[in-house]
Amino acid sequence: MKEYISIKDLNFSYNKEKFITALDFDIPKSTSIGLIGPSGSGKTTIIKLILGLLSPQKGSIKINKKDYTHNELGYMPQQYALYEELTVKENLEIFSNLNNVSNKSEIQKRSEDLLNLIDLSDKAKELVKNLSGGMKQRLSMAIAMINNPEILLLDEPTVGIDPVLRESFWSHFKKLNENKITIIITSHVMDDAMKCDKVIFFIEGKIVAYDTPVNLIKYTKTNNLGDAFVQIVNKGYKK
Amino acid sequence: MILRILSIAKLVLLKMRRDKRSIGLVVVAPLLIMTLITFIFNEKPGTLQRVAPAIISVFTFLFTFLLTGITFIRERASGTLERILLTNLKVHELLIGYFLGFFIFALIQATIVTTFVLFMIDYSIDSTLINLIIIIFLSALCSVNAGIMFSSLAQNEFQMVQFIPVFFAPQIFLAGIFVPVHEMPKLLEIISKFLPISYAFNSTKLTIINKVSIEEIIFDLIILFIFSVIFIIASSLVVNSQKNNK
Repeated sequence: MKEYISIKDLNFSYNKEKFITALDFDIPKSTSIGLIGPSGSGKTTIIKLILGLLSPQKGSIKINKKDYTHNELGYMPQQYALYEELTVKENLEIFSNLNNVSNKSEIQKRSEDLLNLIDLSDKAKELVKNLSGGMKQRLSMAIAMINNPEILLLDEPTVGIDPVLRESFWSHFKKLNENKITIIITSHVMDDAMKCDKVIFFIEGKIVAYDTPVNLIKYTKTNNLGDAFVQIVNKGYKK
Repeated sequence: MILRILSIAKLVLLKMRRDKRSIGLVVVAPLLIMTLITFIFNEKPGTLQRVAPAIISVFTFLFTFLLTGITFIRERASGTLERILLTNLKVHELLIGYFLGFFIFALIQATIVTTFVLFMIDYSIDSTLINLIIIIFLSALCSVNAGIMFSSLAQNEFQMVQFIPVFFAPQIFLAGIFVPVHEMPKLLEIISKFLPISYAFNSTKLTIINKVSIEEIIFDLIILFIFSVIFIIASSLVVNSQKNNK
């Protein structure tokens, strides 16, 4: 598959201590890529480097071989990052306005579409602080999509949501892929990893494997991704 | 740009309107403090005349500083600051929007404090009222941005509250409220010139007590404006550095 997001020789240090070392990988367009690894392995740091919230000491990130600006991307952070005192609809309106959507009917339509998508149409006038954790998670995802991004960066999007909702999230992610949207997801849940087109296993800021979930299981001769991950950590990954 | 600035101002207003306890405190806190001061100084009109400019300048600064600082730190802790800065919003638009939103509350508090003080000292309304309005405007501008700047340096609300003595104590003691600036040791006199409340206090004192025209306090007003600009630039820099985390 053709490269779309291209990360070359990326290095990042926190307080002079190397955290991300010589990272090199390409992401094809319209795919779901999982950044999988334990806490502190550097998943969120890579998301923040792609967003431009952190600056690498060395290396480059290009989209379609070009530089880009962060407002071309959609981002769902680990925290809900919502205005709790505002209603669901007001949150969507504020973020629409900040993304330069000024036409009221356009905001209305986009908000309605997104609310339908995340199944929160009946909660449009509800204050965010009164929503459940899962509902806030869905609203946070809707806000990430408010600017119609071609790339969505989702930091642990399925934390704290029930299995049924997780399934519906994933069927939605697949629909987004069909609409040419590229999705990068961080997770430490192997169920999420299995649903990605390709998975990048991370340990201490380094890639230990990058392949499809099926190949990762096949070449490690294990039964599931969890076991494959443990084997790769202990013995490395060879095709 | 205008749309984004107005959106931030609307956001501040909506958040404050829904937070009934905070809105109560915005009005009740200055009312309570001013009532207390009225009772304390009611029998001593001479003392009241002397402290009136200090009350106006210090409380206008303090209330606005706290309100903006705490709100901004909550914005940062909840992750919404990082998120809105990933939209098309520019840092200076965020700061202007914040100022517009909070200026209304700063104005409510300053009006309560000033009205009480003017009523207590039997201030006759005349052309010098415009001086007070300009002083309050500039003090609020200065204080909103100082609040944002200090909240960016604090990690949490507790640290933000700790900045109150750090930021205010030197200003209160060195502004000329207790001892006239020219009677202070040379070093303290020099330090006093670098503190915004010194100018807010001096201009308020000249307006209320000496009833001077705006020309006679223009220097203080210009310096207050320069402080506002410095705080705006400083808060832009700290928010920008946190945005880029460089």
